Amino acid sequence: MRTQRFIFSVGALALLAAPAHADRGRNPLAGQPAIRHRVEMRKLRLELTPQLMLSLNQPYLIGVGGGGALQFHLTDWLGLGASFHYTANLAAPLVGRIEEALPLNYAGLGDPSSGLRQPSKQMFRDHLIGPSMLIGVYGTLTPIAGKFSLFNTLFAKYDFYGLIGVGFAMLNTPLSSGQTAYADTGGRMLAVNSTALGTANDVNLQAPDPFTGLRPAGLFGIGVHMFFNHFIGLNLELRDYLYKSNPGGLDVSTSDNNGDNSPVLSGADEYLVSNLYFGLGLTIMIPPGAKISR
Amino acid sequence: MRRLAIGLCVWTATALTLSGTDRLAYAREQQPAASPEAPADKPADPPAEAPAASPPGESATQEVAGAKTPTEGVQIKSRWDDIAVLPRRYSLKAKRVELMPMYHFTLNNPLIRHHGFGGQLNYFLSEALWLGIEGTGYLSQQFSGSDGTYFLTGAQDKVLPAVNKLIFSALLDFGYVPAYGKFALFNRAIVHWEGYVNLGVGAFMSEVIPVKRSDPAFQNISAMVKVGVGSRLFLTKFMTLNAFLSLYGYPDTFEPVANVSYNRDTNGACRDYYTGKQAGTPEFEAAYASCRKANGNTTLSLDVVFGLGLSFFLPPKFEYKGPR
Repeated sequence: MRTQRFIFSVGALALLAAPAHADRGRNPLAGQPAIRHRVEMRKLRLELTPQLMLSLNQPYLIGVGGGGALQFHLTDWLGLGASFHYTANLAAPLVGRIEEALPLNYAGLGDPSSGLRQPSKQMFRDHLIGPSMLIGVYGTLTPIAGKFSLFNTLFAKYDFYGLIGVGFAMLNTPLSSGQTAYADTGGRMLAVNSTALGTANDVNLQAPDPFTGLRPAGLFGIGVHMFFNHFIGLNLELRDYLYKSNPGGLDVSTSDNNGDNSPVLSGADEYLVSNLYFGLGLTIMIPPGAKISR
Repeated sequence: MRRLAIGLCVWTATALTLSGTDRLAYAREQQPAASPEAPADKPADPPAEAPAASPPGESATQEVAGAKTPTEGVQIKSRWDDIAVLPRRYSLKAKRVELMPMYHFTLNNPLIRHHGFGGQLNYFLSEALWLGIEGTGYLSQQFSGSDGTYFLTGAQDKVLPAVNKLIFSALLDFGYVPAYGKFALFNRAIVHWEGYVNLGVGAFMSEVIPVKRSDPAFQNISAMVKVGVGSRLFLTKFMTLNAFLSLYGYPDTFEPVANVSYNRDTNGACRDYYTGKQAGTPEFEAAYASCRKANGNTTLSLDVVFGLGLSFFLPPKFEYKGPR
């Protein structure tokens, strides 16, 4: 009997010890937020970013301009935005290298090179196509956010984000002189045709109107914010607008040729181009105060 | 048999009970710091602190020998007690060598893309400053496809612009790390990173891709400068994934495409180069190449490149000097 009582006592002690093992295996941090009292820089806030923009990869033009982006952050990591940018276009170095090989005047009928249909310097410039206005509507995803030290002295919050959306690009001829006629080497003035001729069309004398106007675009981008305080930050961004265009503005495709095989400028001469822009902006968050997580 | 079974039960129960006795110690850890016994149960003290001067005598020696080290104290505690309030820098780089194989490509040249394969060897003077050398060999991809600018320029404007391909570049680099940060990856792993700027000066070699395939190619060797920004993402304490954006500037000499007078005509613009040389001989061709090079157009080329690299820090191990 005494032995049995001893066994039951030891068993009871063992049962008491068992929950202690379970407690020790459980992490008290489980289920708790990863960061307490985190400043939610984006959640339910409006972001206004005036930006300066520079194109990086247009073949013939360098776009320089500015605009702005307005974004509402539904959560700290998901947002919806819209942007508008206007860019002026300058001639890229490639324009100079091509122009030095082009004749000053268009080859006249008696000129041995008239069959080549090589544009003159001015014809070449007048046909170059570039975007002047860029509009985008997009969603943003901010998967990475944290803080960093600058020179081990300044501490700032930052985030990396990606954006994807759709937009429009307004294309025009930014280097065009507006000439309506060109002199040839024979001294004749050759008039510019606003549309293609049905026969014996000369693309150098056809206005590049088929390549201008509004084009739908796909929009992709990545960027970073570096916040100086809870409502002002620096924004660096790379945006890529993908749309159909013909940057050279002259004949590309033979599928649209006339019946007499003379080339024509038409939508068939456009192809998908990538226009990468670098943006530098100042981000202002509204309202100025950021929420603090629990 | 019955007695054996009872004995086994007794021993098992006793073992379980005894193994749970440190529950009391665990409970003490949960007590507030104001408890007079709390200091004895605080997380490990800084291990690097030197002990106070030992009192002379045998008793002191025994006391020291019997004392628990801070490490032993840590081992018996639960793992979350070892979390430092201010974690140390993830990896130290001072006086270590960084070996980085890398690949980069040009973003902004509409006629040709240079794919650069090379490496950097950097020595960190401190956590933020480094000196290094880099060498790159290039493979070229001319945009001569049906929607490539090189092809389209020829088709639209009846002109083929002069274009050069890079052969190699070698630079002496200087770098500085102004920014250091970290972020949580999927709210699980903490990833450390740093941002850097660097400057480089060195030399490059390029080669003309002749517009007319029958024309000779010539090579240029000249100075090159580089300005770049980049980031290192620490994968381990000795390995980082690097991404960088650099601007390479160099004066490149292109063949005189526009001026057709520089040809093989012995009475043409290159006639002085042909003196005493027989047409069709290697010497004549070399003279022709010299003429074209001397009359080429030298312009400043600016290549914006994006690249990726994998850095290995040597030696792979290091020691923290300061206390935790």
